[in-house]
Amino acid sequence: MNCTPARRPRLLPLCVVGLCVISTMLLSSTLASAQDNPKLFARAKDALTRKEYVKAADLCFKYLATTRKGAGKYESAQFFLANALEKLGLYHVAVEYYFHVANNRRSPELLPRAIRALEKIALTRPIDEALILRDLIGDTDFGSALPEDLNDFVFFWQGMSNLKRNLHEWSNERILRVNRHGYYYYQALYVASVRLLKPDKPKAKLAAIQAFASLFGPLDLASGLESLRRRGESDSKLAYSLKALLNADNEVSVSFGRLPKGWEVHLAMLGFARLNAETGVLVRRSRETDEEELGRPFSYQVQIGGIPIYRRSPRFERRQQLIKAVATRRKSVRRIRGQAMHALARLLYEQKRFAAAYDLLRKIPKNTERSSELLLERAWAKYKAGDPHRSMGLLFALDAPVYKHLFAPEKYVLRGLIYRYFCHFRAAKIAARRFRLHFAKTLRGIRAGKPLSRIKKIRAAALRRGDTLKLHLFYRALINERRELRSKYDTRWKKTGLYRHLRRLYARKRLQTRDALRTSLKQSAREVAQEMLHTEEQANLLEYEVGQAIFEGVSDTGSAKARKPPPKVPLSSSRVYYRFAGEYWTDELPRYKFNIEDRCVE
Amino acid sequence: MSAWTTRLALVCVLLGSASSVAWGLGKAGSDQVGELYSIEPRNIMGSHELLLAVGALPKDAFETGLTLQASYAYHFSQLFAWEVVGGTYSFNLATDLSTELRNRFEVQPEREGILEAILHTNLVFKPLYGKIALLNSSMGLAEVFFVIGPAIGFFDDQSRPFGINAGVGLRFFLGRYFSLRLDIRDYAFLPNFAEVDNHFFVSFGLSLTFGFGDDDAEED
Repeated sequence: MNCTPARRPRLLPLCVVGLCVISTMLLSSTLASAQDNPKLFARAKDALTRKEYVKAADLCFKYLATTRKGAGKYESAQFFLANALEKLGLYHVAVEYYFHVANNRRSPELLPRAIRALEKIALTRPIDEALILRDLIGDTDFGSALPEDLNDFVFFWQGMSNLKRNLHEWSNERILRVNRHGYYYYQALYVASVRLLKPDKPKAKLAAIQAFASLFGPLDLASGLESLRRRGESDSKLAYSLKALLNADNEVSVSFGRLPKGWEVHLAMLGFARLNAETGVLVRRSRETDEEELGRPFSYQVQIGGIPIYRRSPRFERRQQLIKAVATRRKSVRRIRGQAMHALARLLYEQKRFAAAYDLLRKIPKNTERSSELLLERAWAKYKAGDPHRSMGLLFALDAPVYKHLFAPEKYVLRGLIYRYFCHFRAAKIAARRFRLHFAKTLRGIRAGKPLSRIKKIRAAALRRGDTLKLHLFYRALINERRELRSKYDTRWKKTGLYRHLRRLYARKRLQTRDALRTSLKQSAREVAQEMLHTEEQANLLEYEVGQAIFEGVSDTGSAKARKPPPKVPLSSSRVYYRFAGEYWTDELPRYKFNIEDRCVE
Repeated sequence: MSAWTTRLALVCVLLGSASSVAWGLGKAGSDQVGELYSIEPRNIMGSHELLLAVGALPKDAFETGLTLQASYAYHFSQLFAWEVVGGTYSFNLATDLSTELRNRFEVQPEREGILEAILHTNLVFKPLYGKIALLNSSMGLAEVFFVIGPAIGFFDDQSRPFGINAGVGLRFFLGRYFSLRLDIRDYAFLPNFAEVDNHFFVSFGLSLTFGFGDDDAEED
């Protein structure tokens, strides 16, 4: 009996020690399993190789959930998971995992692959630009871990991020590191040309013109100047502008004070014109696959509104490089070409060179810019160039069902102007009334002070503008992908928790994007409403003028002179005339012509 | 043979009616203050055309011909062309009827000269041209044309009667250089200028066009 109290204190420490040993063993085994699970990783990799993406994603996630973050294969598993999700069409969550790989930068071999995947998605799909292009690419120093073409992607977006923060010199420092070939170079040149047009402080203007001159290159600037001199145009504004960008040795040296008035427009036009000419020939040549063909000489002529400025023939050693760089991102280069042509056409229009603007608008590559916008701009250019028949035809094209949701209040005004031009006063009045009828509810809403983003037509138009459009497309992509996730992978990924995890990611991003979209939408809606009210004013003015013209004698208006009638429709010609029979054929839309009877002489 | 001529005439009348209906529809779609047109380049046909075709020349109940045809045409404009020269050779095949008559009734049909080849030259009139939607997925171009001109027949009895031929053709453009052609023609030979010997002819062929002029068709 005496022994019992003596034994108790001895057993207790033993039990504690035993428990500790057991728990340590359990913990260490748990930690060991959390540290790595090579078999699970190998199975995931194997499934990915066999293109079983659903299974691969599930296994990758299981591996990630049971493995410590510092484990050797952790980033590889994240990369494979991103890869599988991308293949399954769940781009946003794929981007998030690529982001983790690129942001942690623990696996140097995975970093370029992750950045390349992000670049590919960024070029083809709506993407979380703030997360990827601004925060990751724009703010991260990747050192020398990336290949040359990916460096261009990084430098360009770092330059853009700095530019958005008004850090102009930092922006230049980054953008000028971009290689002088390929998509990012053309994108940089486009941005540099647009920057010239932006009203800004002198310091920012100087930075903008320095970036432009350096990107354009002294050789091309000198060629342009030399060409203008040879043609005896050394006193033109463009020549003076070019002179101010070069020193006596034909090196870039900007003399800001020597720039003539209006230099911004002339240099920007030159930038866009070069983009048009250079990318045009390179996109064509990039379809060739034969190595010998790639070395064949070619040249392009930079023209502004049909007036040649200079010709360039790349040297032998540059040819292949230029063509191959475009071939890797041909679609994107084509798109930037379309944007440059559109911008140049708008500047030509502003310069009152309407025929040249029209000609360029007509040549913009298909599916690079919005066709409805191009049609409306072509209609304006034709009207201003003195061909109202063709202009009216293009306006009729905008009535096609394919443009049902087009927000173009101007088209009613332009139609009214053309009817008035031919003294069809009733038709002109009807055009103005149609505007009011079509936008009656919208105008009532604006006047009643209804929140602009809740007015249906304003909202629809605002969602198609600039940054709002980007956010809107991204938001829509998120919703579609989330729907896809729910309908296809609900049960298949439930067990490991991948489904719940991805749903959470989508929900979080959707809320963030919704807030950003609301803010952007408010701004865009304000702009649309302003335009709407401005157009209403024009419609009122038109109605007033038409009303006056009806009661004035024709001779009083001075419009009694006989105008050239539209050419008669021939029985047979090299053009076929399809008389409109109420059915719109999409391929015909840009080719409509409305032969209006001139009633002014009557 | 006259039945075939009647059918050909019927086809022409139907095509004519269809075009007038289309014309009427076009008018109905025009606006009060003007007319809306879609003006498109029609540069798909070159100046020169070579045709190679296979066809059938059903002669009578006893003989039928499978033909090989070749021709060259010069296109003056979008409306008129001249089929400068065209030749058809017929591989004649006897039908089962003559064998059956010989075997069962021991009679032979009275043998007339059988047409072996034709040489012709034609004026081509191309008033119908347009677009067609193919299964709502793609768009094609087609043309209907009419031909008329003199022809010489080469018969196996060494006769060479002169005659005229007329017909209608349908062309589906396969691209800038090639097109498929379906031709229906009637050759009316006038042996001794006393009677008319009609031969109905159907052919299906591939034609190659070249000699495109400058593309000045852009309406702007």
